[in-house]
Amino acid sequence: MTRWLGVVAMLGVLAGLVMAFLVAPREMTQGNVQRIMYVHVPAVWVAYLAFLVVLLGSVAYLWSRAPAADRTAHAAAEVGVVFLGVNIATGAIWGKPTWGTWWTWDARLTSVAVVFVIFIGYLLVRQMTDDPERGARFAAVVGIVGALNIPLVHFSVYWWRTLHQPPTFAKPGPAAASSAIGAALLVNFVGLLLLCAYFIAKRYDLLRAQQEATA
Amino acid sequence: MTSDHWGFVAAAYAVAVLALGGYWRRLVHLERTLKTPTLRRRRSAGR
Amino acid sequence: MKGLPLKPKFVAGIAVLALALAYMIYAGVTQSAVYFVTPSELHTAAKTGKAYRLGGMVEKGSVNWKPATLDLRFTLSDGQAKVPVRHHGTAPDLFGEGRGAVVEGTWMSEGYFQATLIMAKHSEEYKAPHDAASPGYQELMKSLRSDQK
Repeated sequence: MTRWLGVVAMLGVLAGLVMAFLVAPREMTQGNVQRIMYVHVPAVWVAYLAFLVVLLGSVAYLWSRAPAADRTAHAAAEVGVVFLGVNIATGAIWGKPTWGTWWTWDARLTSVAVVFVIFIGYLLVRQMTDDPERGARFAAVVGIVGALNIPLVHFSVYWWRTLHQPPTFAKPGPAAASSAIGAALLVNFVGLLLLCAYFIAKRYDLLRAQQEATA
Repeated sequence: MTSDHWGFVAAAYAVAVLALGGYWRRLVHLERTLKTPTLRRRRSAGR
Repeated sequence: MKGLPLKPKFVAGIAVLALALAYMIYAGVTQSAVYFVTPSELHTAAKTGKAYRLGGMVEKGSVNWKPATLDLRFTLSDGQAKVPVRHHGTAPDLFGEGRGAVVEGTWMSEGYFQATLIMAKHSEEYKAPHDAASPGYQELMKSLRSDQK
């Protein structure tokens, strides 16, 4: 089951690369460097969704104390950190030639860095005690706090003056991009979403195997 | 008008492939250590 | 409840992260909240020698670039006030007249802004080359916006 998800995800990612490099046009203002968008933007959407899973899993765990809920949240947090890391790194690489800087402390970049640090904390806090249940409880609280910061990241570009531009697609009203660019972005989003689901499923299986091995 | 900065494009996609591919390899490695019976279990269980 | 003792190594790790987070939030509130000042704001309270981040539109026809000396001069405007900016060095690709820019530097007593870093603020619009032939809705909105500024 998980294996098949992996195969489909691989195909989705390959389709995304074809769209990003062979189908999408050279962007008018920025030139080909804009192709970084096809990994930068879907990576953060996927990370947001992974952190939403952390939120749901954490609430469910605090409610029911079901190990499966904690495993789901734990797996999603780890995968979300990987995708958010990809988003931040590709953003820096995109920022240097276009904005003229790798990093700046505007509200968007600061808030996304805060979320990144909170979820690294989520992964560390679990190892803070030798009692896994206690670690899971701490982590659930951190996970909820971290996920609640995501709207702050999204709306930061409206609420404060930033260097980062407002959203092109994730907003009310028509998208501010050509349809071919939108299509390429959508295919890459689906590809990375499948990859994310595969990673979470696999990590979940491994966490269960680990817990069974130590039990 | 603008230069294309293909080097930056390559770097961005390389970083993405390294991070996602690296995570996948970590999962595969973890799976392998879990399947190896006894002794190694305690080590892998930590993470 | 009494749980097992916390591992010192991880307590230290969490403490470092908590401090980093506190600093980022502090920096976020004090700095990012007003990430840049506008030319009007600079004019009302400009302190000589103080470091500012200044943001605005690059005035059409104001860019003066001497590649031989790497001397760049332009005017930033917010529709009401204008600030002359000087910089030594190149500007990013997306820097240009009629576009947004954010510059870091200091206000000089001689009445100009000495920039140490120039950043281009680009729009959220992404267009294929053939779209340019027929200015659509976005194009129209953009031109209206830059006329106001």
